[in-house]
Amino acid sequence: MNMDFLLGTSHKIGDFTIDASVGGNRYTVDNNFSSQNVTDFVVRNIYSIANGITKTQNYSISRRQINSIYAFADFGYRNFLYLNLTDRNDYFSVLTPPSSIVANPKNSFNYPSVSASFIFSELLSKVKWLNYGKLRMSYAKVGNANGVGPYESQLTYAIESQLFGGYSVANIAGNGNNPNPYIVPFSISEKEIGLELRTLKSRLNFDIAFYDKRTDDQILPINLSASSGYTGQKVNIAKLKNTGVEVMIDGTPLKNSSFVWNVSLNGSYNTSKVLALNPGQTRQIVTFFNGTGNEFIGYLTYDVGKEMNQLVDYTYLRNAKGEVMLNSAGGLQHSVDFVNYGSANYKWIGGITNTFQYKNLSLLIQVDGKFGGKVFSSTALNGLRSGQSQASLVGRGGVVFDGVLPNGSKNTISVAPQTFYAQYRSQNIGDPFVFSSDFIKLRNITLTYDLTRFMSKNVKFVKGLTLSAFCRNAALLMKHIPTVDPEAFASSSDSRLGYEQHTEPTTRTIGVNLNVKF
Amino acid sequence: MKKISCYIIPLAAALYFVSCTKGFEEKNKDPYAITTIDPGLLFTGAERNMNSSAAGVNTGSWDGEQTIVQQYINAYNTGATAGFQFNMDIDGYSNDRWSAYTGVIKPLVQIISVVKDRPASKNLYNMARIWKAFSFMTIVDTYGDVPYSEAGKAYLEGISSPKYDKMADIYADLYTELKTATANLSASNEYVSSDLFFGGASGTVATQVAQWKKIGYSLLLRLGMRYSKIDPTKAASIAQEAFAGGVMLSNSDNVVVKQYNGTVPNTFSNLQRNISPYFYYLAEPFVTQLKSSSDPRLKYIGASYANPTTISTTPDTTTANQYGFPIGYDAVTILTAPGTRGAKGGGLNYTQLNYQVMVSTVAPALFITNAQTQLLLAEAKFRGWITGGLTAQQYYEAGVRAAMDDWNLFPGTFSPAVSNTEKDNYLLGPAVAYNSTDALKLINTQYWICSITNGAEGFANWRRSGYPALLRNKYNDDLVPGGGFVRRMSYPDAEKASNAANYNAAASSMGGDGITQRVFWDKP
Repeated sequence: MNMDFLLGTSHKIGDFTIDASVGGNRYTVDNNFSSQNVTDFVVRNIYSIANGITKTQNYSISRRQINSIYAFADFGYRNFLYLNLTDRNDYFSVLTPPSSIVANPKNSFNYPSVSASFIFSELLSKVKWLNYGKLRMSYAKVGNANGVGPYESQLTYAIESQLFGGYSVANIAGNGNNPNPYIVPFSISEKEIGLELRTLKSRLNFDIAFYDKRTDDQILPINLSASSGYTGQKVNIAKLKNTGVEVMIDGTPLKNSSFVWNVSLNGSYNTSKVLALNPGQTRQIVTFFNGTGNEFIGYLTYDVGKEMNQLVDYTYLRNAKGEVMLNSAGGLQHSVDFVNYGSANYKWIGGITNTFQYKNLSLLIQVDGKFGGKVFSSTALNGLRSGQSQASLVGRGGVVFDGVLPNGSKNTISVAPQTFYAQYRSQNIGDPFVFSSDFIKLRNITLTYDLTRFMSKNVKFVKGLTLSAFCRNAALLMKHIPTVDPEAFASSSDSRLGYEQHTEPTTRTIGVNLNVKF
Repeated sequence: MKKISCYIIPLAAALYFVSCTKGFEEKNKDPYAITTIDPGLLFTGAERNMNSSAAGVNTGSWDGEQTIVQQYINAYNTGATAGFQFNMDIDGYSNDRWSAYTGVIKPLVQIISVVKDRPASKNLYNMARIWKAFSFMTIVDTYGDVPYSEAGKAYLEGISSPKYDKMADIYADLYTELKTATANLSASNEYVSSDLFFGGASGTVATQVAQWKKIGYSLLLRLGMRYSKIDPTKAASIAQEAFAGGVMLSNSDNVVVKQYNGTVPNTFSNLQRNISPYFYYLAEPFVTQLKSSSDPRLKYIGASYANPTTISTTPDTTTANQYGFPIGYDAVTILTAPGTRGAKGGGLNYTQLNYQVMVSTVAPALFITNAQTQLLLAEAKFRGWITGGLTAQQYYEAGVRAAMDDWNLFPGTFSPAVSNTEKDNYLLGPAVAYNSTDALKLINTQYWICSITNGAEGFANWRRSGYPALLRNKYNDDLVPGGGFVRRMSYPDAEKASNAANYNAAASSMGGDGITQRVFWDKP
């Protein structure tokens, strides 16, 4: 349920215009969930609840509310200078209200924003090549409690559904989430400056923007030492920074009565940094991949001073000369400390779209790519240790790994490949399974023919008719990770970044579209 | 009028919205969640969870200590199973006991905080303290320095990174806890019907208190005997104190979860039973011991299935047909080992675990037994640490008989599991009959056998007593400097990140977080 009220006023005084409003909003979500399941049936082929042998019921309620009050004002001077001011206060029901546990909780958040734009082309009407020019600047702060669910600050108990030899058995509910009543909203403040230009009769257009985004009190589910009683909890932990630039260039290099060539290019660069965690803390594990219910190795972490989402694991144990130190059986040993393999986040993202149009025939070719990220491949690990990947062909008759034995001599011991490669898993050595996730893809080719002019003039109700053939995911032009598509992650969740988990192959789609407009 | 209403409506609306957090406290409470509970029900959970892989294993997974003390091994090295049986330290096998913190310690800490000052719950309070001391004894014996004073308090006190306490200090506190809590149990306090061991609808407070005092003093005896290598004087004084207090006397005093049934099975051996039964084989030293002494328990512990992958069939349990898997080999290298018995069906031609008896879904979980207690008394008496009572030989024989009777609780055994004649004959055997020259060896070998289903205790007593004198496992044995044995488990890897500062302090205090470091009472 979403309820709004808004009171507004609008005035014009000479060259100035003012629009101002105050408003309020109440956003409520109430979910009631009930289910009835049965397993095993008394009579064959009758699928009804009454026919079930073991019946389980579930009923639960989830509810949350956000109350907001806000005000905004727009000021305009003539038609080229604009200033926009807003202020908003949100109250979150999922955060702890004043209570016996937390006397002064912070369950509300106030956030202002200011933005200004200057359409300077209005003052430069004599500059013929410039059709439109706008400079914009903004500062905005946003607060949110996303990531916190209802009741999460409450300690609850669970009674087991079955009696145990006549006894009721109870446990404290949820080992994974310590109820944390001290969570406050996180905030994002963003500064942006942008320039938009349209030139040469809009044949060449630019839009470029620089931004600097700071996140404070990031709400993260973190791993706790199980000795605390819980294996995880949600906390306000990190201070993060994202800075970057986004560019879009759109041009029409060729244009005559029968042929048009249009190029559209977009690119962005983003770099992030973990500015701070808890006082004195330098690393926060976001996910221990083996703890996700899969047999895997490695960690996803926030490390102070480094880019967000570091991939971390043990490496080979090496001596001062850098040689791999094996055990006396010629087997692997892991390093004393974890190493960083780099960030799972992409830094560069770019794409180019070319459109060629000749009379009624047009061809669209779209290429894009992402660069600068790392990925842990569980396909590579499990393929290696079960002897199914190409990498596992090395040493089929016995692996003599390049390293030194405890007595300092060069290793000559041959280890059965299954035994040897299994040690990457047991020793948690990540080196052979970390790849650059860079790729370039030929994303889309579409050939379209406009058939509208062949339509009989008498068929008035058809306004347009096009026929097109397309191919999506046409080709992977470049990648580093073996076997799998670097984009085909099992989960897009933030806590599973950089983790390739036996993903199904990406599909190429080829099709024909007939598009009729009435 | 019209003019007024056009102000009133928005104003009313504004007021409605501005009551910004009204009702939020109510809204953020789950109406169907249980937010207060009888702490007694939590205690039932904490008792049972000591043996639940779901909520925190505390008696040892089947891949844990028994493979160190060579009772059986997981012969298959798949990386994820490259554990102690191959002298290797992998996180998966070291984590099981740590999970007692969530399944056992947390609810006990919660119970204690709730009932500490409640006059009507004095017995529950003290029983929770005894059970907590038991759990911590196991945790310390497993790892060494561990979080103790700050453990289990994430919710209650907001401690998310508990500091590690020194193992000797924890033991000192466990001694005080066991003594005080046991002494403070009183038949004039309340009856705890939710107690899984000595509660129930028809019990009485007098019996329950008497039983729990025996649990408390038997644990105190166990704790005292742990000091035997480093401080015999202290060991003697605590043992005498425990003995005078009154320890277990019969198998009905056993602390055992025996309520497992078809609906709530013993999940402890799920992995073995359901996924990879053919991975596990009794180890040669264990089979040799049982076979050479014609031990009537071998048929319940071990079994040869026609095909090791199919455990639903009736196995061959004839003693003469049982063969232990030699230590120092794995499923691949055994095939070319001298005198190998080779492969069989989908597995290997060696004696497996008995899935119909010892590793059945309804097998009981034995935590503290009369058998163990009598054997500890035998050693204490032999060393002259306790006065009065029976002779060392009498305690020894009582312990052996009690251990045989433990099998009465298991499914698929004869009734009685071991007859008196069998017990008498067994005790006359040359490898078993008591003699004072070999007393310590005999007593502790029996302790080793009777702790087969309680790995933590078997491993601890073997480290303490040095018996049986096992030969070193030469598989990868350079991982164990000095050619020794695994002496402890390493901390969970997750501690290095989620509790780094405290982890590092503990690891450096222990001289490293390896599997050859020793806990404080385990002097070389």
